[in-house]
Amino acid sequence: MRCGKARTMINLELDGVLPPEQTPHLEEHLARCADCRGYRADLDTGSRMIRATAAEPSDAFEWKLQLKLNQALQEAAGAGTPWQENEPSPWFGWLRSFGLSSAAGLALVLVVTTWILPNALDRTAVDAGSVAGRVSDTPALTRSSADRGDRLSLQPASPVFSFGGNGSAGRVVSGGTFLSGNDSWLKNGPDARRSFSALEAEVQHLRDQLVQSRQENARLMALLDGSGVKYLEGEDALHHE
Amino acid sequence: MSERSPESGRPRPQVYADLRDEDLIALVQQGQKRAYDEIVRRFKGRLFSFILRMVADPTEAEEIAQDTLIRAYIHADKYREIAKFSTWLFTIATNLVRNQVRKKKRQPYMMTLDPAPVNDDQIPLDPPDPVSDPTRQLEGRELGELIAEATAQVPEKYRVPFLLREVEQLSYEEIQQVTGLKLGTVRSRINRARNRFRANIKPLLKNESLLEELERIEARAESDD
Repeated sequence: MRCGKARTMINLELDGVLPPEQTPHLEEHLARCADCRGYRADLDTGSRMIRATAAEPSDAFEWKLQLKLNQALQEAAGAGTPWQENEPSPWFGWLRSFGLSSAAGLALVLVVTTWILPNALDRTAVDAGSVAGRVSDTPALTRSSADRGDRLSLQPASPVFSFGGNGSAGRVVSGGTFLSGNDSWLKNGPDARRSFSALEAEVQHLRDQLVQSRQENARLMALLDGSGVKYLEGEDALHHE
Repeated sequence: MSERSPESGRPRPQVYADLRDEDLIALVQQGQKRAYDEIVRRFKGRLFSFILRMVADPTEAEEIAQDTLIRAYIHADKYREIAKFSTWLFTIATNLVRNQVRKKKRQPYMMTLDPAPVNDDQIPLDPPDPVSDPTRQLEGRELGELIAEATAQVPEKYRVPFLLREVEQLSYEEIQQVTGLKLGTVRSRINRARNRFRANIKPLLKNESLLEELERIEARAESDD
């Protein structure tokens, strides 16, 4: 007997279906073939290993099964599960899509009108504020007007905001909210909007002050011209004082 | 007379424990839920073990085993005693496993994004050498894990009849009923699977500590019985 045939018989023997009359032939072959004996021993150990290492399901197996079974029975009964929706009609689907797109459009319009436009306006206002901040660069009074208490001050009574020393509008402080660039309003939302309103009001106030100070300056300069006192501009004025 | 079920802690009526599988499903057909509980108790481990060796994922294996038992309950009226109940049940399980395997094959390959190693020590310097001493690679690994790996490497078409034979001890005819294959094909596939499996477990067969572990497991199982 060849080893190939012997090994087929070994498999049949393992499965318990080897005809009894063939058993002596197999045993005869195995007695003189070490390879086939090893083959049978390997298959036998492999089977033992498979059976010995059978895994067990988790402890939660049964209650999970019970839950799934309850759900399956409900579905089989046609009750459906509470979270299942009926198939929407094509019309309803279209309306729902239309509603969604309309809502998205409306939300976009709201975002533009509520956030982006005010921000653009506030930028304009801040630019105007920087112009106002540059008032300090206008010719300063060098006379004893300071002593008389009519030195012009552009600082408001309550420091709602302050400009940079060089007249730029890089930093605006309002009601404790620090605004820099375009990002803070995104974070602060309503607070930022209130700050921008206050900023606008203050810019207007500064514009008025600027107009008044120019008028006052012109009046004083006219007086000086009339009195013959010289006036200095810029750095010279500081040194003069 | 009743004993307490070790899994659920509920009293387990002896009357059900003594019944054949086919008698139990007949009681389920009559609406006796307790008979179904006994079926679950008898088959949950066998189903899970069989399915786990097919899908190699314990969570997935549990779900498929549960689905198998649910289908058996819902479609209990379709069972006729022309085949053993276990054959019918494993036919359901095999079909569900096949569906799952097909579904997986259709899905695109997803790469697992394992978290990066925290320390440099965790980064392997060299990949493991596949031709190095195989017995050294086995150290510290459990027999069950190694057998699962060796089984998973057997091609699926051979694995189903092989496991039905080796794990479930189904006869060729029963495997034929479960798989729908011809008897000769069942036999040849089992033989081929055995040869592949033997090649896969060759290093284990030379490992004395694993063979000792096998004997310990068998002795424990015998004492439990």
